Amino acid sequence: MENNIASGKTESHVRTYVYVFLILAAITAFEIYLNSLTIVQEIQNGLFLILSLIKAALIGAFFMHLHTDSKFFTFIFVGPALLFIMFAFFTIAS
Amino acid sequence: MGSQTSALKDHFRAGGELGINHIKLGMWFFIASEVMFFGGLIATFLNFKINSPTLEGELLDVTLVGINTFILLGSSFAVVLGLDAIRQDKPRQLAFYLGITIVLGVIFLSGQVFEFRSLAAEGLTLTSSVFGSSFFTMTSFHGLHVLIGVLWASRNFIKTLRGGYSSSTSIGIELFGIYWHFVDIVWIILFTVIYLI
Repeated sequence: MENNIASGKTESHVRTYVYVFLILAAITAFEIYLNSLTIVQEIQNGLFLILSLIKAALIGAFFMHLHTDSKFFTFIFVGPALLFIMFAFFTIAS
Repeated sequence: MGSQTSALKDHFRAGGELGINHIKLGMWFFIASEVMFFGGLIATFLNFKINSPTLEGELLDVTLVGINTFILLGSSFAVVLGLDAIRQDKPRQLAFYLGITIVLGVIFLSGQVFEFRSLAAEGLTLTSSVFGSSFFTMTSFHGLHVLIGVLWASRNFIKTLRGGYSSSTSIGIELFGIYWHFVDIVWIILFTVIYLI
């Protein structure tokens, strides 16, 4: 468990960060490749949205340390993000 | 009196009241306000894109922006490695990673300026159409955030060289990291919403 408060050495997580970065790079490369394909627009757009949410979640969880930090920080961050998703959904639907 | 005030400050900074770091809490509230700020811009753009589709999106260069996306992801990677390094009391490594972050941030901004100039040459500007207005507003505000991040990283870089950070005083790097990674997340969403969908 990482410290909430910077108060001395903690164990290194370099290997985890490398894996996360490689996954992020691979997803981005796949997105660019997917963009060059001619497939059903709705499926393509759905895949793009899911992939971008996965990337955002990976950065939030591992690079911003939300998976080990206080859950209250996750609530502060994800709450407005969910409101935005709802707002965007209703805006589009209307 | 002075030592009492100092002890209270230390108690506050250590998260004595809530059990969480108050400075970091403040940073997360700031990030939440940023989510709402960019959320409004993105929702507006989505609404326009779906209800009034135009062909101006064809002018956008996905490959160039894809490279820029890799660059920003790389900078985020450098920041998190820098934080990991200072938590191991390795300020030289932190300085190295902050230097990489600054360089990658500047390259990203240069790419954005190049893209803006190319689009302007094609006739797409802030005032040319609704698409142009929403596109340049979103990407420029994001670029401004990157610029602020580069300046913040430069300040941290100088402070690191002066011995200002250690494993017990790394909160400044952690706060900068939260901001920088958030800017990266915003770009991931913008890349999808503007260029891919």
